[in-house]
Amino acid sequence: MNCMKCQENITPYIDNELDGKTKREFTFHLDICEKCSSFYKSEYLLKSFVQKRLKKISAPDDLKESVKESIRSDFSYKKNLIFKKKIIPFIRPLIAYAAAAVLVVFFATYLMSKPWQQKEVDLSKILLPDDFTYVSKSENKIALTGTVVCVCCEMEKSSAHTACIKFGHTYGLKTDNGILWTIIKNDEGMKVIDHSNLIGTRVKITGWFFFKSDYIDLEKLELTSLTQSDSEILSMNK
Amino acid sequence: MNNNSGDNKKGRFEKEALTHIDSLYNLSLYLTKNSDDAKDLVQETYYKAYKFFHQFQKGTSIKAWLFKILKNTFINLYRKRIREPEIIDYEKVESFIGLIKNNNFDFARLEEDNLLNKFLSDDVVSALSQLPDDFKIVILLSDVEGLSYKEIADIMECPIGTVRSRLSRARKMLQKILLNYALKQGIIKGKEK
Repeated sequence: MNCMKCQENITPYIDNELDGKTKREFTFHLDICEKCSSFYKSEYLLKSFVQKRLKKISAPDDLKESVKESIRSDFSYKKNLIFKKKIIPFIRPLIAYAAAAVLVVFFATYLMSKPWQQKEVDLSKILLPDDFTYVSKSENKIALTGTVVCVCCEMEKSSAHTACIKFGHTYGLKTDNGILWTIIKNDEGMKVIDHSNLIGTRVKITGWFFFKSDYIDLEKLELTSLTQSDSEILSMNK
Repeated sequence: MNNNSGDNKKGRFEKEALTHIDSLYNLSLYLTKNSDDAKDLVQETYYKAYKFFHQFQKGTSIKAWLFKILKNTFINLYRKRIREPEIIDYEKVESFIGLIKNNNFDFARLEEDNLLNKFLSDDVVSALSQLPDDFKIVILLSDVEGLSYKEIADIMECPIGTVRSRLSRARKMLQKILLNYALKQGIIKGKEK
């Protein structure tokens, strides 16, 4: 037996899978070849090491019991036996009740907040310039003075100016306290948006103010200081 | 089927099949890597075995037959949804082989230096867990369960020669992983060239 053949036989020799003749040839070669002998010793030691150290883990008692039960009942309620799903039948109604309770609480709170009544905005909490006037308190319709600006440019986003040149400015109103309002692009709003030379002009705007999102639904625009071109625009608009 | 033969089947099945539950659970745990899935796999195995008990050939090993069902059930049920086990980073292992070869490290050398007892049982378990499934199964079936190559070939549905070569490779991998670990932990020290 040469070394190559011998090394092929190391594993089956260790597992006692060789026939008598091959076994004799194998052991004969091991006696004369130190290299093969050391390979054999390593694998033999590894196998016995694994056998010694790898403790077999016994099946848990609940598994043993439930398999025994299933056999005795002909596996008739097999579906209930799956361990992972076993807890679900207990938990499911609990989850349902909890979800229903949470829903009821939420709905009650919602009703208590009287959603059918228009909410009045507490303007003291919102940063508004001093010169605002209410047109209609319940609708959050107010009038404000400020300067027409491009919101993007004002926010000085990186490359905003390039983007504005490419895609057009986002028109807005900058009030004296520094708040930026974006003008909604509807019919009235477009009157501002269509006239780029309004940028930098001081105006008085009447409209519906959305305080959370800083949007203005424009109703009326008045110029506070009329330049000649502004007068022309106004006359064009009329 | 009359009542009598039904009871007969139950009795026979319980007597012959249930005794192997520990072995099935042990393999199941190595394959699924968590006890809930392992329990499910064992349950499912017994369910199928019971259902097809009439197909079991008397005189052959029922343990091997149960293992085969378990292996196939695992492949069908779990391999699909569980990510393939982490396969050893062979390159990483290779880089250590140079060092190991240089210093003639192997299990024979560890034995001589009386270092084998430095490994914990957990190290062996974790080394085995790192092997690909097919290699894990042959080690467990051969070295823990003591099955013959023929029985393992039957379970794995592969030729006997494949069992031999898988076992040989699996042991080499295990040895490398353990030596690699020993080097990292400083159980053995790599000498300079």
